[in-house]
Amino acid sequence: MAVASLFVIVAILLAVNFQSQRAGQLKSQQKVQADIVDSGQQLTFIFDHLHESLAQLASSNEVTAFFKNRALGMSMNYGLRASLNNVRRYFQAMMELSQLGGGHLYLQIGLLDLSGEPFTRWPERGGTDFLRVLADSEKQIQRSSKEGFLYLTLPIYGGAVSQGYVQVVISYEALSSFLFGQQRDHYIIHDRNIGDHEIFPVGRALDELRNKGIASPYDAELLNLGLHRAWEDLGLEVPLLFFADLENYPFSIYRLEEAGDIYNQIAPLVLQLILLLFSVTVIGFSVRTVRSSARNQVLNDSLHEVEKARQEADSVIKNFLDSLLVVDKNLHITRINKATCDLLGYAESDLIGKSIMPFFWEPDAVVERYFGFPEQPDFKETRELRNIELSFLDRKGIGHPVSVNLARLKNDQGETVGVVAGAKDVGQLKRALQKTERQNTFIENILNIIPGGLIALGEDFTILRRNRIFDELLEHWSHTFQLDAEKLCRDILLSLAQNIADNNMGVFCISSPSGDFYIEYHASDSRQESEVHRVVFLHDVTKRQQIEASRRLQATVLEQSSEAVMVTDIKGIIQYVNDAAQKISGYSSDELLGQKTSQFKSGVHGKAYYQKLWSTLLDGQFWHGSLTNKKKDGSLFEVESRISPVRDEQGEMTHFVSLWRDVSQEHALQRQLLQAQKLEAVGQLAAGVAHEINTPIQYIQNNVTFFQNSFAGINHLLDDVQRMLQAPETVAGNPDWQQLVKAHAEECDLDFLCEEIPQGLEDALEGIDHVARIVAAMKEFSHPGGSEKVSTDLNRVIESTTVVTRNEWKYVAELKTELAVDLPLLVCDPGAWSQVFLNLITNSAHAIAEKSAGDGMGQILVRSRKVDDEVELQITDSGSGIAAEHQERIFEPFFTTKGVGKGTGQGLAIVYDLVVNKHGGTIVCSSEPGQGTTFTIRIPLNPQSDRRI
Amino acid sequence: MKRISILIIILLSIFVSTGNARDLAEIRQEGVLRHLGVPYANFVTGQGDGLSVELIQLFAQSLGVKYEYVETSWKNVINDLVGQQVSPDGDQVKLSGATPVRGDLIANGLTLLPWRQQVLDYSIPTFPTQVWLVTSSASAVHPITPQDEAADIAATSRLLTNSKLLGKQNTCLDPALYPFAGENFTTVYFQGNLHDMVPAVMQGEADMTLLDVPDALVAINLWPGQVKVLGPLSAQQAMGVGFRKDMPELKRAFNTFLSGLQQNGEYQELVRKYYPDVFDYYPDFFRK
Repeated sequence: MAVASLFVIVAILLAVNFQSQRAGQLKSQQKVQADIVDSGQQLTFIFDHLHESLAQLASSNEVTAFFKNRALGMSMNYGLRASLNNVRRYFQAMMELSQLGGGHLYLQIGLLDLSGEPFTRWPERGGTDFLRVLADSEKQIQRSSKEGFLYLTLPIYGGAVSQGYVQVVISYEALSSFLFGQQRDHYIIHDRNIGDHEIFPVGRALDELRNKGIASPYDAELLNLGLHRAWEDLGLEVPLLFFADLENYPFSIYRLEEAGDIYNQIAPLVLQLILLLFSVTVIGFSVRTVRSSARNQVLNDSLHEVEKARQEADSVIKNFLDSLLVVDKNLHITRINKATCDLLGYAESDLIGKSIMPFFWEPDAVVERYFGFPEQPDFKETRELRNIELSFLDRKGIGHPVSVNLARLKNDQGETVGVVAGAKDVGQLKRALQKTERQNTFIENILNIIPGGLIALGEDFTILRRNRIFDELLEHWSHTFQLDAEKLCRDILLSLAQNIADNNMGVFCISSPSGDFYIEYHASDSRQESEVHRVVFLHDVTKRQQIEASRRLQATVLEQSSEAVMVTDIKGIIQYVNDAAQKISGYSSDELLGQKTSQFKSGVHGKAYYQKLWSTLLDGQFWHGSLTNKKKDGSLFEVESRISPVRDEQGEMTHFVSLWRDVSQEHALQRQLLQAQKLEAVGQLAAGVAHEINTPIQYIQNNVTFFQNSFAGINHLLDDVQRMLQAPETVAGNPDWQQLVKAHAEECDLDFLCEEIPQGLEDALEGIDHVARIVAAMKEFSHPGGSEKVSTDLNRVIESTTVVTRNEWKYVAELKTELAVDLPLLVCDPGAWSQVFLNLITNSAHAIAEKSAGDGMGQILVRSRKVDDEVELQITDSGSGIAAEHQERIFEPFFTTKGVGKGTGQGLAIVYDLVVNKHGGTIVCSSEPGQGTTFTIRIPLNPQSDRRI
Repeated sequence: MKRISILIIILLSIFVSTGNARDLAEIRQEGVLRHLGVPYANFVTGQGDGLSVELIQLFAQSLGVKYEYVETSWKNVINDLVGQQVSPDGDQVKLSGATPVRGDLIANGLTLLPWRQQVLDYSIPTFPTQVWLVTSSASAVHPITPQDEAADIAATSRLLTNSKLLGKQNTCLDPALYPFAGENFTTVYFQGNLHDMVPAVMQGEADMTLLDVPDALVAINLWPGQVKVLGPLSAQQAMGVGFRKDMPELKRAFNTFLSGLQQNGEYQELVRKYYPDVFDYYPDFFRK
């Protein structure tokens, strides 16, 4: 009976165990296949990244600069090595940045010449040799595999000519470690394009696969590869081959697994066989027992059979492939098989009779509850417990997760005498599940790292998967625009459906009462047969759209600005001009873009002027000043220019923006105004000048009258002389004739005339000279001049002005000049300076007149001298001075302290404009009321017009 | 006789110079070391750092005094140290009026030149250099093919024929200081900053420019593909820290400090930070 019971229990356990294992194995098989597909996707991702990185390396500034410098003919000794070092440092930085599973993605990076020799490489030493590259006219990445390394090479072109290569080397071992971790011995990466069918990592035995009848999708040649040794090392009994092909790359991934690990079919079959044998044996003994006639013999035989059955049961238990143990009612171990002993790391003798508690990870109460379930009130009727998850605790303290089935063990009387426990090690299954979980987490992390919303859509535009950013975007939009999130999601999907039909990327707008917002999408159709029909990347571009709209507005404003706008890079190369700039310069946009600003140079400004301009700008400062530029037709135009540096986010100067205001017309009007004011001054001076001319004219007139009167007497004498010359014999020795001549001489007072006429002539000539000087001064003073500046002797301008203004000051002051004889010529507008001196000298004369009121003569001193690189001019008077409260305002237009009708308030304002604005000089007034005033003017000999703000 | 007269002038100038000239003891007492510098290449970047700035900061730290940076110009840098108007006259100098002493040492890539040595004491060499001939990439002039230093200098000198050469007075980039001054070229003296000489050539103000190696290395990095180094115009030179001749203790202290830094490799690391390429050009100079 006991044997029968045992037989039944074992049969039940085996059947249940077989079924559960079968289901688990199928699941494991699916997991393994899913693992290998995931690994294929990760490898595709890595290859994509490698291609992008290689293109980035090859087109980097460092690499480009090296080849440019090399093309210029620079040698390593002189400059080229620095350029090459830049490339090496760049490679080093890229290597540090490119990580793969905690290590470097690249084994090495090299810049190779056309013969495949490295110009430079990183790391500088070690690694492997670079692969010699065959000349290839295609500007494409070449991919090669050799001896455990993957080589990616991209040629670098200068125009149509290949100049060298960038090559990166990746270790397949590193790729395998990253992709497969501890399981990497079970995987193979195969480069299908390689002629000799190399497989990485090397050392796998695919021919063994063929020998064992494993079907392969590839040709027999592929299966001929591999090494026996590696296969034997793995010790696989019944290998299974899983594989996955990469879609975009000619690579495959294989995974070898022990069939026993996956299907575990042998164990149930063996057990079934054992069971069958066991049953037959039991039946045989029973028949034999029945046939025995002797009671003792029957008893003995029965005892013998029982013992044998017990031994058989022990054998079954001990040889059971999974863990199997039997405990008594006290939960002491009475039977235990080898698999359990091996798992726990104890000998059988160490375990028999011991409590099972110390051999489980879980608390004693938990173990007692399950193993002692026949004694538990709530399990009174329960015959068995299934799939209890516990963990064995081995000798080293390491836990082993197991799935345990427990069944009552009854004696012949039907009493429960213990519990039989069968346990299946589920560690591998758990690890596989954990790996899947990690990979899911990895994919989830990648999805969440993507800087935008990502949704995977089914064919009917239902969302199958979404990343966190998408949820955040939805929440943000619904919160900001007060929309229902679900409705918003539907609207977005609707818009996507409408837009994706036309284009896989674009921007659509979602309108709401609180405003519109814009979403950019990029959709990719899935090329795999899966429920995911397409993946869509979504990005909130509302701000960008607003900025774009604002930029368009700014561009329109710039384009239509009345001021000319020009943008250059920091070398002065023109990058942008607006309509006004084209109009003012006469050049079209196409003619200006890419050209240097120097093409506007008119020759009016010296080199120092432009040097100062550039120095100011390159110092990062704002420049403001006047420029006379040349148009396309060669004519000149004047602008007030403001040039500002433009900096990028790092604060580096990248461009300059120039604003030009065309002041040609304005300057012409100013010159006309100046001339008008000058003529007005001339008009005011006319009376005085007339008076000045009148005085010498009067004594010229007197002298000429004297000459006229004198000539009548002299005329008689001349008649006498003429007659004497015509008839010398008549008058010679004639006393009457001599008397007559003497009388005529006395009559005209010849001695007096001979003395006075030369003096009179001298006086007359002096008067004429005086008049001529006044006229010349007037002419010089009132000359309208031009816009151009010319080299001018300021001393001469001062002298002319003192002459013209003489009538203004001569009655109230003595005017002295101290003019430096070595005063250098000044490039200026001489007419402007006539106006300056006229206004200052006239003001001085008026101030002296105001103070003296006819009581004594004042002093006016005009000085000129050179001080360093400047000309200094001083006009000092001993007049009434300027009150302190007025001194700050004297240069303001229309400010005057003179009486009504005596001053317009424009004089000093004009002086200030001419000195400071037109000639880049300075003017300083120092005045002491009652003592006098000094105006000090300084003008740079090399005007910079660098009036910085 | 000429040397004696110059010595007298120098001694006289030292006594009559204005400002507070002082040696190590006074510097320690006043607790501050004044570093005269001109923003130049990566020695003094103008952004508060640079090889010379960090070096003198470490020196001040070793003396236990505060560091103070005093910015000056190439025109005045020596005047500001010696307290005299100093102008070069060939390998000699002319001294004129007194000026204030504004600093205790000059450190900004100061090349050892004979005329400077008339008025300055130099530290042990701090940096190697050489004068190179540089032009823009648009120039048709082709760089020399290197052989040895003498042949390279001769070949580079020949490239100057009929060119407009940019130089800078009062610096090691003055063509008048070198044997090639006799070649048939026109010197254009640049009025702006040293680091603007390359842009000036690129803008066509001269055909070529002199550039010393530190600045050339900076230019190659700054304008990749736009600057062409044609070859050398001088033998290898050295740079050093400049001291007034009446500051022997400060110079001695600095030399001891720098030797220590060179021996323990700290100086080489500092140089690598600002001039990583210089080790390839002058490997012997930086050996411990």
